[in-house]
Amino acid sequence: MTTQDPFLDWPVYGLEHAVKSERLAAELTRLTWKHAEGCAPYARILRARGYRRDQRFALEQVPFIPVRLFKEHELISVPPDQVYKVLTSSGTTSQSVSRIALDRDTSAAQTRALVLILQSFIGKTRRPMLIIDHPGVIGNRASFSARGAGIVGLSSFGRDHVYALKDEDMAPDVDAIRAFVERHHGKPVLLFGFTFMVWKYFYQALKDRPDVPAFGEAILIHSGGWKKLAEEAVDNTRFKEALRARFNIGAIHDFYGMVEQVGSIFMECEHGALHAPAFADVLVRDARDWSALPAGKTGLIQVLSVLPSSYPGHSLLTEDLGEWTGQDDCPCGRLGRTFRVFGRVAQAELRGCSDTHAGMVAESGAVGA
Amino acid sequence: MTARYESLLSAAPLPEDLAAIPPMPAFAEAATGFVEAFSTHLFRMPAARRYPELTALAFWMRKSNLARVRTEMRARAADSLLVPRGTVLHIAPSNVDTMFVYSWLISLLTGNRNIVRLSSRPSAQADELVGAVATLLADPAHADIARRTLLVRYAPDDLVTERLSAVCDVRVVWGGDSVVRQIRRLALPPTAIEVAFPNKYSLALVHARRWQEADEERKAAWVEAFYNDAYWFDQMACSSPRQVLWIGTPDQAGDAAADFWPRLERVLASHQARFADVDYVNKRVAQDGMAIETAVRIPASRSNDLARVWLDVPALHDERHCGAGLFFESALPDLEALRPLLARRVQTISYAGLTKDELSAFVAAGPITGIDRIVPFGRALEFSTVWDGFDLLRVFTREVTVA
Repeated sequence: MTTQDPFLDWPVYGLEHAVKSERLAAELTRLTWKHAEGCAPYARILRARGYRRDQRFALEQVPFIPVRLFKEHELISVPPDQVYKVLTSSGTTSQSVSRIALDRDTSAAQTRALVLILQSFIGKTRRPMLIIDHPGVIGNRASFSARGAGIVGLSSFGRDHVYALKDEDMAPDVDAIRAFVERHHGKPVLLFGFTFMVWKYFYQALKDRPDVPAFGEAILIHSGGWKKLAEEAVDNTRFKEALRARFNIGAIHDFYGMVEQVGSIFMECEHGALHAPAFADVLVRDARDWSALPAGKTGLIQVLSVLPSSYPGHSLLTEDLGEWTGQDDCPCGRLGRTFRVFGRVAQAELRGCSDTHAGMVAESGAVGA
Repeated sequence: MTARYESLLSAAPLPEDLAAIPPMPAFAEAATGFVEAFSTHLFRMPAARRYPELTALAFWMRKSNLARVRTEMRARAADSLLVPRGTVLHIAPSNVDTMFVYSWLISLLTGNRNIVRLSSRPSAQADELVGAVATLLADPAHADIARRTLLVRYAPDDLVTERLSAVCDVRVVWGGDSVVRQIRRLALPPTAIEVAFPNKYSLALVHARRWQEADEERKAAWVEAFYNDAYWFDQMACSSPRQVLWIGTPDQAGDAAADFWPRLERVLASHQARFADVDYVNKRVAQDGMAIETAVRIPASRSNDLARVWLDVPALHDERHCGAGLFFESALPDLEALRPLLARRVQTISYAGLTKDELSAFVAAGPITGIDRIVPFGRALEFSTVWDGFDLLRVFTREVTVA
């Protein structure tokens, strides 16, 4: 075990942009060359693109790689015997999944970072926790799905965990939920689940029952994206209003994160803005020339995080569109960049010489978040 | 349950009724008259001006060009007695929206009845063309063509394809390998034939030293021609060049490339519409993936409309290619070095700085795998009645021998 990473001592939402950019740039530069040393495929990309070893980067110049590369290649910067756990993304449109190798240091830093971020929203006390999912999702501990990893990661912020859905059919476990509400009546509780699961298997399944659960002081944290809900014309505003009105859940926070950068998640504040914590940042790039866009311009989101030290995932070009909206100026008081996510870029039709039948898959295939 | 499709023409015949209508003689007046009217109609359509490929099609259909096509066909047929095969089913590709028209018209001009299946992928160009055909065929003047033509659209559905296949004498499949594989599984009448045009990969060949020696005007013309070849169909046509091979020493190749690409970038800056964001991401994934898998350099470019990958060791890498302005390139010491690179799926070589004689000599000098056509820059997308090595005249007719 090494000593704790210095960035974990940075005030999580207390660094002004100028100071933060400089610190992040230095740390990300160091990581870039560390990964180049440990991960040959990554070094080949840098070399092909003409980067010179030990070049220093300002924040916007830190080399980035497409997040999709983790689906096609094994990108690991530590010897195999140091791999402590492998995270996989849930396969969405394609069968391929990301495989992210963590060593103990990275895993510990992720956990610590998540604690620091979430304490800003739910305080330091562990609350009774209702998990809006079924217990089976945890399944195999050696290889977590993104959903499983999210639940395990968040579980340490709660106590007296109860799963709200049944394994067999994802139906709400009404007795368990009622017991949970009654047991903790009047006390602050924590709810966690994936956005779509919360809506479909919790809200929609319970809303018309005469005995809907009424929570007291509850915080719901959720993630996973809005794609499926957009199909039902449900946006964040409607989501919050519905859950507030029906179940009396007062505080609801979305977060943006991905299995390729677990830990340094981007939480939505009380004013609806996603916030970059001290150890992470976002840039928005114009796909046509990769230039970093100013506030208010839509482009591809690049996520930067100083946590990944066992795989070269510290600077990733996502396939999500978004815009950044402010810097050190959110009324919630948290410093750093704020942004919004609009969703995945439109997938091109399968073109080239791969017409009809391949096209059918794209037309009818179920698409995850 | 009958297999259903969407008919794009009003009052079209049923597939099962087509056989009762006799084929027409080759280049019948009804057919040439229709094609000329189609050409005139396209030239008048405002949309045709927006899409250069529609203009190219309209030019191809003009009376004077049809006469040329006819003369060529006559010359190739020589003394053979050729008759239409009957009903031709065309499975059109989704990547080149005008292709179904060429395939259909050659078949029509040789006298066949036709069923054309269009891709269900939405396409503005295809919609313009379908609209034009529907208008023309609703005119009683073209009734002879209308009763011999089905233009249909359906999402991939084996039942429908089987229904249409059951009544055809020729099935022509334009599409990717997976489409060809899928459709080949579906039965044809015992006497019917099938011709498939699967995935192909095309290259540009440039003589590096002669590039450098060319004058400004020549270079400008070549770059413009290359732009059209590569970017018209977003580099998705089988004949769009996807790789540039420089004939010369590595230094000569590097110098020529350093002169060529900035010129192309200037054309791109003034001509090229933005690709979809996902295209740019796909190109980046392809570049970085290749950097991992093989020895490459990724030269920077002014905008991502152009994405280059320089291969230290020339190879096709076609499975990595995603189109939309991605170019693999490499240096070859001489033309002969091209031979071992070729695979059967190499279709078109478009060239600059070489002569027809040099290239003919190359083809004749030894066994060659692949290459269906070799054309100068600017003609890669030009339609020809010999395609992928098949003479369409022979595909759409059969020879009757009389002794």
